[in-house]
Amino acid sequence: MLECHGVSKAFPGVVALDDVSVEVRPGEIQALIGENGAGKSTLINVLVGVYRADSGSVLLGGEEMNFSSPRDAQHAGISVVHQERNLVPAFSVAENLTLEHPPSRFGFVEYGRMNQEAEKWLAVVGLCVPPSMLVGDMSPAQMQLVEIAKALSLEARFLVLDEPTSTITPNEVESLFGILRGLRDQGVGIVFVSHKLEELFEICDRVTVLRDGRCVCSGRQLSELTNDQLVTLMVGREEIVRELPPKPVERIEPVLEARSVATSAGAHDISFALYPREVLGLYGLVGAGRSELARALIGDEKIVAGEVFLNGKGARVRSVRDAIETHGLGYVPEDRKNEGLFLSHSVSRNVAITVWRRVSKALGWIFGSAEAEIAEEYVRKLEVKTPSLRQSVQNLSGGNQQKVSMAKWLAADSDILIIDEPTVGIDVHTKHAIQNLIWDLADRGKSIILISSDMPEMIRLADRILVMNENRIAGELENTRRYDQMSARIMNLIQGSAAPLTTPGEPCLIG
Amino acid sequence: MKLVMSVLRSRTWMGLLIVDIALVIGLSLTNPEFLSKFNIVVLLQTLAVVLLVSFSQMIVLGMGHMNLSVGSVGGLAAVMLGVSMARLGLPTGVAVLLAILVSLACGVFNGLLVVFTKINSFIVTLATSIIFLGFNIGISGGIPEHNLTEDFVAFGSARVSVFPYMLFVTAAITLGVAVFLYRMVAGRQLLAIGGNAKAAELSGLPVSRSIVLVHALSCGLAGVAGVLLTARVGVAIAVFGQDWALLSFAGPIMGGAALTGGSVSIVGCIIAVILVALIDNGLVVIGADPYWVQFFLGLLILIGVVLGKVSSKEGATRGLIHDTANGRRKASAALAVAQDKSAAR
Repeated sequence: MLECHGVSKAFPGVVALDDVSVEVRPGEIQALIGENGAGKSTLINVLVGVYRADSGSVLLGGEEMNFSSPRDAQHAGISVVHQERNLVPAFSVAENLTLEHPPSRFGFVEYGRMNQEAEKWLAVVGLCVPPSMLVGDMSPAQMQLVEIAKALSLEARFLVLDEPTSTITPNEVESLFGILRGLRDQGVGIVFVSHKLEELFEICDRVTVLRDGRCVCSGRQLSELTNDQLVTLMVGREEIVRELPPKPVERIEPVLEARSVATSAGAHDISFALYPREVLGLYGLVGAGRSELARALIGDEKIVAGEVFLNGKGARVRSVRDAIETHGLGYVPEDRKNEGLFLSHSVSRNVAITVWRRVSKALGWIFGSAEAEIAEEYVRKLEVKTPSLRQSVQNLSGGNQQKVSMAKWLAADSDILIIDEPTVGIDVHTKHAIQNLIWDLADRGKSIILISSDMPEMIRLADRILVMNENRIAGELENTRRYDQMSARIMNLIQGSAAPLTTPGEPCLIG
Repeated sequence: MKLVMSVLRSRTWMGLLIVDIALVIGLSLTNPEFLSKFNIVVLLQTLAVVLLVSFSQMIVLGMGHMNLSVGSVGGLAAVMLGVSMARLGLPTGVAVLLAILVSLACGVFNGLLVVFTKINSFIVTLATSIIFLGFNIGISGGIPEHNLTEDFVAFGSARVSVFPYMLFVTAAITLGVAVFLYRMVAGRQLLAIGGNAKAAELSGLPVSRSIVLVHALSCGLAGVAGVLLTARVGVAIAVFGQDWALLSFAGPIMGGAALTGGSVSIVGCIIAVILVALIDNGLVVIGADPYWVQFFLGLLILIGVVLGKVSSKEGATRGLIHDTANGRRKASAALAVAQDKSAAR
């Protein structure tokens, strides 16, 4: 059994964990949930040896453990699969699996033995690929399985998974769950960290909830709790989900219309219209081509055929700059860390960056105070939790970072906003806040294309839903806002429902 | 056009190879002297030296580092030879060994500095390149040393038909580098660190040790290049290598090495270096104004780099804003969908 008793950990300025006690049994899957900033990552890092607790202890099988590095924890049988991939893309699967100790003789690598070993672990996780395949050529789901295989190859008795399903398709999630159940039945104890509550009910046995660094619920049976109870535990008060009624949308003059558009990324025959004050949902699985289409609309990818009309007039978007300044478009990217924010810069710089021209004086001089004025307005409106406007954005929680990423488009006052996966990896409360914000934006006159693979979010917000699959539009639906009905219709439109990525237990046919 | 593009993209160095062949044909037609025995020997001698200089940069690039001191270390090897042979009267073998050992020591110095100060290798080696140059000039007084041992100088011009002895040294080293990077644990570790330093660290790879080792090897190779150059020219000059900076990057990068590390192409590097040697040699053969040699060399290397970009897979999936990771993500997303489809059948 893996336990921690009375663990506390503080960083300069913030108490991350305060007297937390958790126990994980072999042969169970325990969920670890909490809002961003609740202490989940810190707790995981203490359990796997990345951090040393300030006080309290970590015990394995009743014995106190003193990990000075993740390797110590690995040797003790505790492995972690982080949210971000830790693989070498230029290397093969086999090499990544054996990165720590490649089979070798006299300093020379023995590739034959390496591939053999790799095949063994690939079979355990049911990943049917040749061990010589380069990790860089793999899908996110496959890479994740490689990391799980790697964790297992270190003879993990306890496996910690941090947000394992945030970048993989629903079918792959099912496969992953099958594998996890198999591991559980073999006696491995699994800690499953996730924001997707609906998944937890499917796969986890017990749950631990953290809030503000403290344990509000430790190891309770999930079967005894409801979704709303979990949310209340996480948030600390009852989460009232605001009703977002359908808005009256005038379908007369589209603000944006695409006719038979084809892009350099492979999309073809894309035709749709976006009306004023509408939230047009664009639903699809990972790889359907939604983000690529969005990029084409804002000028990051080339449109190779078809036409785009803005406010009735044919428009050629030459570049992103052109899109923003001439056409009033805006794009909130999916990958906020790499594409939406300047992590090392301040909140006010991040918010004001789209409007530097407006804010700068003669000769392009920018005064910090001018930036701050603009930033202050939007930080207040979006309720961004930050100690000051000068705080470096990388120190904010994921949800607040996303708010800053969106704030800059509010500052730019774009009329048409394309928002790409706004609430991935964000806690429930902030998720609702951002969704409310999107609805309010549309209500006040903006037109929004919302790209999301979060079904509940899509059904809550969208007026119409475009379903995209394999780089084309599979269909268009009016949103009745009835969950079961809409989700069934959407899934039906996604043709050729893909078979599971792998079938654990069945013989592996490569190719 | 599509056919041309698909041929160019089949291998990263394909574009370069085509230019190499074109240059050889073009130069032979322009001036038959180009194919004379004498000229080929000169060409191969240049190749032997420049290839080693390129490898010295290639291995640190593989780790995601840079070594700006390769030129000064080459010069230091030359100066050491001058001092050992002319002033200390040491026999050739000992002098050469000493020069190489000193070069290795410079690399160890670089590596340790990077490890302990945690400063970027670019800045560290920029500084040490100046320090080493200072040594070179200080020790030699800026005076070229002509009194090198006879057998050493003879080695520099010795050959078997058109193949200089020097080329065999380089060939053996090339083989060694290939084996090191593709077959040996230490070599794979350096590429792992370049490919994803965080993953390497989390997997417990000996990062500090690798850094020191790789910088040592890099300077060692630069030292051997300096020794060969000195043998060929017959004189030990302190400022040997001062133009190696551009050359050392041109080979690996045109050949397809990732600037951020983790992936290098030995074959690509060789083909690129052949291009550089051909340009250098060719410009002389066609009688170009020597003052323009630098200009053309730089220009043609620029073209070579662009060709290299066009040839690579990364060039194919780029948008203005996304980086390669995104391009790879798209490619792998497409792959995933394709796989799901084929699994369904």
